[in-house]
Amino acid sequence: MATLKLVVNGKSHTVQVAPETPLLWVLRDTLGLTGTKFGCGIAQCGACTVLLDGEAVRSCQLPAREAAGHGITTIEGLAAKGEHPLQKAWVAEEVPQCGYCQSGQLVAAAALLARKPHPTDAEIDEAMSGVLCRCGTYNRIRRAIHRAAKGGAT
Amino acid sequence: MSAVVKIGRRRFLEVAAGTGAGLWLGVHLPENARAAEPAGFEPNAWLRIDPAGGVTVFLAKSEMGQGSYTGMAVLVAEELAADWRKVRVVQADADERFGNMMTGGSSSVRRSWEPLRQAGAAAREMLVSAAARRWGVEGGACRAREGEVIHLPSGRHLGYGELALAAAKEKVPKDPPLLDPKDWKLIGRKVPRLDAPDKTTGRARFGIDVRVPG
Repeated sequence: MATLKLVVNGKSHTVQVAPETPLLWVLRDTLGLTGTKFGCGIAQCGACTVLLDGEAVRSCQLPAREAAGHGITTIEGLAAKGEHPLQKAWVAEEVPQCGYCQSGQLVAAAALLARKPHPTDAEIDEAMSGVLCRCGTYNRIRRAIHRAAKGGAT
Repeated sequence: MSAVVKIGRRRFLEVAAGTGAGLWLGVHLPENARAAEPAGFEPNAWLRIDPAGGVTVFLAKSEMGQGSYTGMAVLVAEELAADWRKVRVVQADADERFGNMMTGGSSSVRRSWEPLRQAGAAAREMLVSAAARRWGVEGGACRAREGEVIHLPSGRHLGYGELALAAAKEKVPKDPPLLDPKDWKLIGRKVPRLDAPDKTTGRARFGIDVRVPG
């Protein structure tokens, strides 16, 4: 076990965990932030996506000790009450079906828009193809990203 | 080669009876959906109206992204003549009153079409009766509309919240009249999905998110 300091959504937490514990489980079980989901455990589905210093990473394969000292952003940290332009676009386009992958989708999309405020379809494909959606909401995800990029989220 | 120990039925029952209490697993999940909601007027298993006028629809189907969360609420709310802004959906616990709680075969709307609309209509009739009784007027001169009952000749009105406790005392009608389709406000229209916002904020809870003590 080790004592780690993690900064999550702007707040500092001191946790006692085995240092190789994937960040996903520290977020979900230790910190109670259950918005980030477990899908595959092998960084192939993207449900566990969080931002590490603004970059999308798969937290199921990131040891907690490697996240210490960095800024971690989870779905809960995108906006206080769901008012992030992507979240509003997501609701306007009725993107979620079952919803399980959507935390990962939104976080990955947030990383994309921070880098490329007006992404092309090809850039969306490249950034988002690591987050799978078994319900097949891809078309609406793309529309919602374009909508948020245009600023017409509401 | 595995060694299979044949106990025999008699011996098994002896052992089982001896360890009696340990075999009976009473699993009480900490959250009972119905008990967790504020008390109020609950004429049937599908809906409850609390004194603040909030309408809770207990969802007896599994929402898997197919839209039953919103669809079932629409069926109840339409006939109830609820204020749609005050409607919220809670996943129901297993309850015999719902009958078959299976979700599948594209059957939710088909199977719920009659019972859920009747559930909403029954509650609406009871609210109207309660208002008419309070005002000392004929029920026929009253209308239920967007979460309130209005006495047409005088314009008097009472919200469902204010009527909730009185409505609970009214008799549950067996065959309440249903709306004419031309009067539908929700059915057949595009209704934004109620579950979408929580699914964009990480607040929507899935099986993996439920914590059980121990």
